[in-house]
Amino acid sequence: MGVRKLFNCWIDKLANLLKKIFPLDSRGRFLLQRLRAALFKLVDPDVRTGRQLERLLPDLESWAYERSGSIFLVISPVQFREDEGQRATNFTQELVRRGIGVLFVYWRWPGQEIVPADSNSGILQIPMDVFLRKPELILRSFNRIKKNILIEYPHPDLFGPLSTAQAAGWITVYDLVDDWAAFQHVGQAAWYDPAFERYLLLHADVVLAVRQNLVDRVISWTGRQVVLVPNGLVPDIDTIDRPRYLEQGHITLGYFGYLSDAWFDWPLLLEVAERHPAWRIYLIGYGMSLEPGLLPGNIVFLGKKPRSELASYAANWDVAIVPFKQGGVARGADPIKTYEYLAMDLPVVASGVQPPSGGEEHVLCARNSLEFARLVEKAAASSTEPDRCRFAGSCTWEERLNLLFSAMAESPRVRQKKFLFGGVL
Amino acid sequence: MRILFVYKYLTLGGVETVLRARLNMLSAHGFEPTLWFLNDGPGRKIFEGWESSVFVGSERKLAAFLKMERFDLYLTLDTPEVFKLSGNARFDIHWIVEFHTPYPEAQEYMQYLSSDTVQAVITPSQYQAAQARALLWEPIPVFVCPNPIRDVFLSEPVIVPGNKEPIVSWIGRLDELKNWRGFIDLAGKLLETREDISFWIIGDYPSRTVEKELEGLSKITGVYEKLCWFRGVDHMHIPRFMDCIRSSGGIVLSTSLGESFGMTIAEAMARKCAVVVPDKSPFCEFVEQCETGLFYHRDEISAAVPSVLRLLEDRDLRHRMGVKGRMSIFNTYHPARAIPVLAQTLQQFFQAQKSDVEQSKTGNVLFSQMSEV
Repeated sequence: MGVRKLFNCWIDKLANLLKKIFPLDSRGRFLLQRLRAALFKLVDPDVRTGRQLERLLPDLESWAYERSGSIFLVISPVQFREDEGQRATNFTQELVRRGIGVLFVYWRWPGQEIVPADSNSGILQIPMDVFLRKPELILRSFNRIKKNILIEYPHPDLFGPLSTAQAAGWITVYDLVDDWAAFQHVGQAAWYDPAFERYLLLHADVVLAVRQNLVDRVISWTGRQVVLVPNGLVPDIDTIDRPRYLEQGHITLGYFGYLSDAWFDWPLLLEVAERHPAWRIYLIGYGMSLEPGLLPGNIVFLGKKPRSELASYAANWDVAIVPFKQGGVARGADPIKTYEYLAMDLPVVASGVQPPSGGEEHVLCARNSLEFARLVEKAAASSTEPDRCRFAGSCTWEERLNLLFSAMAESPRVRQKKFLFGGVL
Repeated sequence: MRILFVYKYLTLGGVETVLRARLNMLSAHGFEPTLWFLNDGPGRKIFEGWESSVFVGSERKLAAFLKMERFDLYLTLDTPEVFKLSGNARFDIHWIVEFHTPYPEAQEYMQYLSSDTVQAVITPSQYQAAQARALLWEPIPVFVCPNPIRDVFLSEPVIVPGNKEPIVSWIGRLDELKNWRGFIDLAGKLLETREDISFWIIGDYPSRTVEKELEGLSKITGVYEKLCWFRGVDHMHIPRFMDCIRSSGGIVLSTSLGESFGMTIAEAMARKCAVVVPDKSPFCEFVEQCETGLFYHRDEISAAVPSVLRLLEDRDLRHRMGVKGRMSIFNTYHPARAIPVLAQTLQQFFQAQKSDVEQSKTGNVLFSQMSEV
């Protein structure tokens, strides 16, 4: 810090000296300002990223051209992080596995550092703000390959880029992953504009939704076809890398995932913990607003863990839980963790959310803390069920991506768009 | 005969595609065309196969090029920069000016053209010729050479299924002169009568502020959800867009406040689309009321509402107009018709130029006696 302060002090002195040497409106001052602007451009990471992009896009196109001949532009509200296992990340991994290049556009907090760009792995990450600065740079590229957009983040600033994409022959897929209006209702997703989401629902070539209730709602809104593509899991999620022992309770419960206040039902969990002090509840995850020290003694917060370790922790649990708040946010969600718990052969007790489509018999749903506790006891007494794992095994991301591709293949709009851009009817 | 065309931009625009069409056809008529663009851009791919005839360079480089190379005719398309060439420029060149721009601010240069450096002006329509005459201060002859419809519009239109609602479309640059706001306004009025209409805007904007304005205005007028905007469609794909519009039972509409020719409407007619246009030139030169399209009163956009609705409701009328429109456009603007007119005009210029040189020695100048078209 000391060195930086000294450096800043010298910079200030130099600036003052230059101001004295080159008074306002002098040619010297003008040149100085130009030099300053040029230096800024050199060091500004965003500008650097823009230039880097221009160099990397042809590399990514070649990568995709040599493998599958197609690319996906994935627009996601979160960064591509393998350790968080979000839907956009899982789709991306599966796409790349099939040789399909991915441009992963993600939203970032102001000032958050840019993920170093790399097109050799088939994935190129770009912050949304950089993408929006000059969307045509990307959207008018990739003329040798098939171009698709998967939008999971219906940000209203996409109105213009969407029009460019439509004109350049990109197949547009809107993937309705959450009930965004419900998020806004609970004070989140301030960016959300229902009019733009409706616009997307009406104008995307294909619309997917993660839950049947969202499918039904869109059909009643727009009358258009919506394809149910639930969440899924990676096949090896149940692999135990090495044993990890946790202290056991009378019943041991566990949760892993995002602990957002928008959906995590803390009052319910605290009540259950208080009523059953002999139970032990383990929480693995991130985004918790409560101080871990304030939790009751029988709730243990383990923090964020690599996905490769989840199965070894979960092996200590009798019951896996999804304690979500009743309401629109949870009702529109299809927690990935439910599939993962089932793959780990754990009985699941949930509140707020519906069981996965087709997996209703494997998830017990409670309406309040009393029922939740009762169902935990019931679940803990149940034995291993081969059907649980079998069901989970049919819900891989590979299968989900197949659903997406079938939806695209069957869509009359996609057929029409292909024709508009040179294909045959 | 060696002929040079000079144009400012090498983009994917309409002028570049017309030049591309001319390359093929003029070669067939014994011309050896060369193109010079002052600014580079994404339009190079339009000239694939003609790379040796296409040059890009600044005015300074053009001046040097003109000193080294001799051509029989020199044409410039709305590129007054050629008159400001200095340094290596030759001052004995007599330019033929192709006057296509409908934008008043871009037309100003016409006032300063001198008969010492400009032999003639070519325009794509009678209307634009009248504009040219009104702007010129010196007695420079003006000729009309029809714009050729581009090759991609010539194939037989196809039926494209898949649209549940008729598409009312607007094609052009989203600027003041083309009046895209008029289209949004009209779309709002149409929706008051019929809800089952989709609206397509096919066009790019000159400034990014238009994006937000379009979004805002379409929300205010209730058009937002029904509007599909295709920003910057490659020209080669436009015929299929038009086939899709026609197959939906839709029409192509112009709300333009100024055109030199009205190429997008002519192209739509070539694809058998029914069109609705303001009752003014140059549209009146190639659209015939109730035969190949419908007019509305030029000063009142809302006057287009009944015409659009009438066409949307009358399938036979649309079909009849589409068939007649294609025929009528092909009669004048098919490249096989339009390019020979240009070739003949250029031949006449060349002959007149030669005669002028000979006659100027005896004091008679014949070139100016060439009859204007």
